[in-house]
Amino acid sequence: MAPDGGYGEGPYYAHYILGYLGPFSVHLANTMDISLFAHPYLERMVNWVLDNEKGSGQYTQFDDSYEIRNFYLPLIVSQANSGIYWDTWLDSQPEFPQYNANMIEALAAYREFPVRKFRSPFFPGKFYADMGQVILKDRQIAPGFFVSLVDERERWFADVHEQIDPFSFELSALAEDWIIDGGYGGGTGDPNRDYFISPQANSTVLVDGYGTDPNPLVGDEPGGRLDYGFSTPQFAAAGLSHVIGDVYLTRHLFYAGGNHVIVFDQMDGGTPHSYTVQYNYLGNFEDQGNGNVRIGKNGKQLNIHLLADDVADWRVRQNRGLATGRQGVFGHSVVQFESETQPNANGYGKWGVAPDSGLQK
Amino acid sequence: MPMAMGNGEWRQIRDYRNNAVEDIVWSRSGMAATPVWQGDARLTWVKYRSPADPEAVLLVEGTNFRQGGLQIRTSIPVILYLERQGNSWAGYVSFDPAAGPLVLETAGISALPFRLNGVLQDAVSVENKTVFEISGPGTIFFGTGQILIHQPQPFLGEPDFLEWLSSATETARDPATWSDYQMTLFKNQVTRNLIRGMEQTFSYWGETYTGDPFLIRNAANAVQGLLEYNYRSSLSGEGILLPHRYGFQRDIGDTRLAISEEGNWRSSGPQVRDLWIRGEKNRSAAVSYRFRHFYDQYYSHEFFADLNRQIGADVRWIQTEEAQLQDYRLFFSQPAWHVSPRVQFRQQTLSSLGLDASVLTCRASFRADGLESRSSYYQYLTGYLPGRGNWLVEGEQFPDENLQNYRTAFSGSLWKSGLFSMGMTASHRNRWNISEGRFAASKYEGSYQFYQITNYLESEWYWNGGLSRSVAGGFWSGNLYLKNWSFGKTGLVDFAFSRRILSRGLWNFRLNYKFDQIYDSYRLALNQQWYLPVHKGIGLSPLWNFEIGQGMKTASLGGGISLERFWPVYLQFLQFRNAHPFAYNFEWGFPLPFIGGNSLNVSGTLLWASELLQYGEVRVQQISGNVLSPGIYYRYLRPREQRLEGFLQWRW
Repeated sequence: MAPDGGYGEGPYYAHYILGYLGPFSVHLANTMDISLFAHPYLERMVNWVLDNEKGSGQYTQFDDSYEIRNFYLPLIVSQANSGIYWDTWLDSQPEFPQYNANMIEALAAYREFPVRKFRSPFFPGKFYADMGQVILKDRQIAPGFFVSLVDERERWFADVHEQIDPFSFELSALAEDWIIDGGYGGGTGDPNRDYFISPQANSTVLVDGYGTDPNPLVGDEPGGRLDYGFSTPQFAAAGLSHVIGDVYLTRHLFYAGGNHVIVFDQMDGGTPHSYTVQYNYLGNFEDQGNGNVRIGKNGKQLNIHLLADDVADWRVRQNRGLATGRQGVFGHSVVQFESETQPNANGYGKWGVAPDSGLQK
Repeated sequence: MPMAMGNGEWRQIRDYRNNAVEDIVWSRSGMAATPVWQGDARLTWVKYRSPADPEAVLLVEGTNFRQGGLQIRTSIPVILYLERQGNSWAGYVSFDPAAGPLVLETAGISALPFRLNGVLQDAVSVENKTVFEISGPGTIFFGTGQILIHQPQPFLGEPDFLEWLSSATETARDPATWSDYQMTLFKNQVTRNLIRGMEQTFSYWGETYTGDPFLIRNAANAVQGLLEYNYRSSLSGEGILLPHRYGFQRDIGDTRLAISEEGNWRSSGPQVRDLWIRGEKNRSAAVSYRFRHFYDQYYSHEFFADLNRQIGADVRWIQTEEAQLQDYRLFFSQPAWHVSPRVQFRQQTLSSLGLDASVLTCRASFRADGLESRSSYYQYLTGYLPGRGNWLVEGEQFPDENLQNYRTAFSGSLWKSGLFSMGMTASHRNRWNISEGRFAASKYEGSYQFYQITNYLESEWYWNGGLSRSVAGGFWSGNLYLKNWSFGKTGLVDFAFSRRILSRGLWNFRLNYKFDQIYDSYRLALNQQWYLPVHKGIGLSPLWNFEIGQGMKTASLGGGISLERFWPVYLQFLQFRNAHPFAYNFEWGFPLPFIGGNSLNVSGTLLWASELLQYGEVRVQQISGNVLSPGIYYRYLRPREQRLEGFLQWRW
């Protein structure tokens, strides 16, 4: 666990651990008068988990993550200063679908916490600079627009549940998940395990169709870097970088509240390459030409607009992928913006692409 | 509908409820210009309610921007964000410090003082412009007032316990006096140092015997990785799994052959995930084949032929368990032309949905899905003359919906240092409908700018117009927003005035009245700000703000004092009435001269409301040349965040 509360195995296993620590903390409080979640690390871990709720009832799915596994938040509400925030967050949730048998004693021990409304200055940009994640959203609780971008630091890599997913991008809005991460798959024993831990399962940037080379001897640095970030009460931005082969990749996010975000990708290569900006999406795909893509579902639309030096150099392609849902693994589609290879074999490639994702009801 | 700009692309997002417009422009080269602003950034985002009065600006890889009275110029390309709050401006600047200090020149931002990362910076006034030298990236802040900018602040690493022990007293070195945490730190650091020592030994041996200091370490890492991976894989029944990637490239005469392959070594043998074979002759013609097998049901074969870099073919076929994708593309392009016609055929068969096919011809498309057929066409023609102007005609037709949309736009220079632009958007569904007409004219230096935009949307007329004038020493602007040509429905009247009254003194006044009957709301805002040099090197910044509207009433009163005579110090105190009966904000920033030419920057902001601290941030940082040493960081966000950490270490 990083000191900012980010958990290296991903949001699912953070839930898993909190699901046990919550009841345990009640025992500790009753028997030894110790408030476990008053420890700043654990308090921040809970805040990080809640920040990863996408407004769709689901959580981000980088690393080994299934869709949802709630822990019983009321148990710890009284233990930390953030309790007022947790309590207000809890009020926004329609239901807690899962309970564990060992929670019965804890439930009996739970004292109703007086409801006080959470009120705090709001910043649309949330930066987990230690773990390596940027979250943008239009409000603190139950966001109507949510974006997550991962640049995980190698320092906090988990072991068996780690996936190498720098630049993994997720977008949810209007209570729907639109751009997703492939997630866990069918567990570590899934026959397609190497797909789920590969960059193809992420909404990221590929160089010549390849992502990070995970080979421990000659591969790429698996982690990313947060170059800058800032947030005012109405605007947030961040710049992340990562290297694949001889290509220096930079991904900037600009978010002005509301329901659109600008993603600005720069690819700076020492030799010619083709670049692919790919988004794993959920919904019905429509290529409108000229770099415009529309994804629709349940009467809502996600519009992705490609802006580039020459849109004709980029082609919109569809691909297939796998994702992890509550019911297990399912197939879904991927949209790829793929550039031509630089014609000058000895030239330097510097490419920019900025999809503006605007949602319209 | 997107708007091509000749040398860029312009997208506009309109928020009619808040009378706000957001422009997003991608500029391919040189200056980009919309009817209301000009700039040279690769990516520009602007938000405004009145076209002559931007509320927020983002420049990415830009050096120049101008809208109404606001002008921004930088000496090197930067990422720059600025937003206006009352009479103040706040934002962030990012650039490569190695490119040298950044010179930022502004006009139309009359608020002072200027602070970088909370610390007061010197400013030089030249005619109606103010010039700042910025040493490094960070938050920027013009004026007084409470503006919050949050930056990520990584947590500091754990202190070196062994180093502390080496200089500790005899009693403190006794393990019996250590806490459990200190004992754990001790064990971890001793173990880490031992491993580091072994690594250094292996590096020495490796370099002595093989010339490669990392050979033994890498080999050990590989063995460890293999063992770990093998152990984990055996638990899940996978066996050995080691990722690999190879590339091969050879030039034979004027032909280049390249092969790359990615996959896994498994106990059952190599597994190919991605194989790419390509040949290129004389950099003019290319053929390639690519095979991909990402997961069990996924097989993709892709053929590509580019015969003379102007005519090509691309065939792709992907078969998965639940879907079949076929993608055929023929293209023809001529780089010297501004038009690149392409032919593309794409077919996707989804077992549950039937056929979905589309054909793209010259950017026109035909689509048929199953029994229902639907077609749409899109075409545009655009041109530009560098530095003179650009024009656009574009259209979009949906025959099945009996709908056509057309847009024209022109902008250009009709006189020296002036800009003229106009455009029109029309649509046809049973009858012609002109949904937008726009006209704007401006002159760059010290003159007038006029604009008007008329929209007709959903049987409602929207009219937005304004006039602004910037002169040496200040500017004034007036904007009017009407709906259905009436003040009585909804509208905005905005008047701003800024005037320099002394060599470094400024006087700002702004009246803003917004009324909106549809949403039954109104807002009246008045604010005023001075920056007064009272004595050499000492300035005062009194300000007041009053805002009243439906269900809201806010007022603030306060001021700051800046001392520049001995060293730059800025202190500010604000009392305001808002959601809480009274709130207080206290800000300060000053660099203290320190030993050996170093300095200590101290800055922070604290906000109290309802007699409780609501927000606080304090930084103490030692500045030593270009090296920023550790410092103290405190941050409090009631009630969910509290941090206090850091250490101070001075060495001389």
